[in-house]
Amino acid sequence: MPRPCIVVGLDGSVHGEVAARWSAPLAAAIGADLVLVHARGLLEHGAPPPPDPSGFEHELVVEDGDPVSALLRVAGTRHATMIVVGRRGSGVKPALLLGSTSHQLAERSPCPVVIIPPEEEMGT
Amino acid sequence: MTLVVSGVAGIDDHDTGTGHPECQARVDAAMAGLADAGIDEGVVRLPPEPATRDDLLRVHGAAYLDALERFCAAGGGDLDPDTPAVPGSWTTALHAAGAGLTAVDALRRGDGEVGFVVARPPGHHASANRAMGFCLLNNVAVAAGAIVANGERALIVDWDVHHGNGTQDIFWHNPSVLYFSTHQAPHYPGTGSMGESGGPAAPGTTVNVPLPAGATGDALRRAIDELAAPISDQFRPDWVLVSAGFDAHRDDPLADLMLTSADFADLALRVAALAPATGRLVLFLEGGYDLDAVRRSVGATLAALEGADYRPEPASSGGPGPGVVDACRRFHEQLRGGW
Repeated sequence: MPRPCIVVGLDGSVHGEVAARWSAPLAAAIGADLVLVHARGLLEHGAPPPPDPSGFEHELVVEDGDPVSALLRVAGTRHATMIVVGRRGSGVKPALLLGSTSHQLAERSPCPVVIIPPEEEMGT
Repeated sequence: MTLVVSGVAGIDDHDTGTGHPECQARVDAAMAGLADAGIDEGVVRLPPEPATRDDLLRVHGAAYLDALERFCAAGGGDLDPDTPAVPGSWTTALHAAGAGLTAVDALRRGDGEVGFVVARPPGHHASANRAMGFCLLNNVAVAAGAIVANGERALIVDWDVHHGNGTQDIFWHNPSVLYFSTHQAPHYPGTGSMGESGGPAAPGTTVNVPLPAGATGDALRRAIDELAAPISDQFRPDWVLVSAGFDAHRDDPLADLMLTSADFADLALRVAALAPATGRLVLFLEGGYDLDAVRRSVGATLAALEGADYRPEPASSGGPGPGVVDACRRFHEQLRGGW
């Protein structure tokens, strides 16, 4: 049986890193591969990849395109057990019409999607 | 005679902000290229008519159009990390989307032999319901939509260095539009693999040639000669539309292909040969973010179509990529049972 795989959206913001740090102990507990995905936009050509979180075992994958498509592509090829993304704080405008990344993933993902709220909203 | 449809003073209010590569200076560079090539006096300039809602609804969703208009009117913001909008973006985008229709209508009247749309924002990343990659409305798709509504067939050749995911998506199921793209891969937006070849209702009407970084003009010439040409012969388009990005130029800051201005001239002559008659070819400015490269490339492209001798750089060859073209040719030849 293949190892489970947790795919995490890493967007260079604190929200992505919160999602990664939430996922790390879960991946260790269930023996899952932890794949962090950074979606590289058009303006990022030639730019260095985002800072690689330290302190836990993972693989960093840089994919071209919008975050939703990039996460779904990686989740598909890795047969992901789940996708984990951080949610930006309330008050941030969602993407035009289609909704936030987490909303789009929830509608389109073939595997469970876990949404991690901002640290300041956790437990409130 | 070339008809140039370009923005006029007062229309372009799509301010992307300081330092953004998709800016009004690109249009200025393109127009300067015509003067450099010595053909600016031989072209006819037309102001673009804005696209109507009905024009847009052929390829975009009503809810998306409403949301985009409201978003701009409310002050705008970032549609995605690459794509800003301001209050003037909506009107500017309407004119960019309508510019192709202006060109098609003028060519139908017999007012010229070739259309060249020099408008912004570009369009080929915009899908039916989404803005992305600097694009708000899909300009070439709006023109193709009108052509199809007239009972005709359109071939879209997209030589922009980025895959035109929006155009591909819009016509994925439409057998009246053949979408042919050469682009760098892997690269933004992550789509455009060889295996993406059209939906069940339109098999083989999407043709992707994903080229490796460093590819030179010979690979694209081969792609047109050995892939686009035989497929177009079978498809028999009534119109040829070109998503003419100039960001495959070796000096472009947003990609890694190695074309020169003369390569674009060669490509222009090749796609012109695919048009069924004079006056059935329209080129649309898509990407291209090194202003000098845009200037040289637009000059060389339009000079070639006008029969003028203007090649500020020699054509390029010798890079990787011809093997990919061969693989794509075999794939589509098998898909079609030969040609």
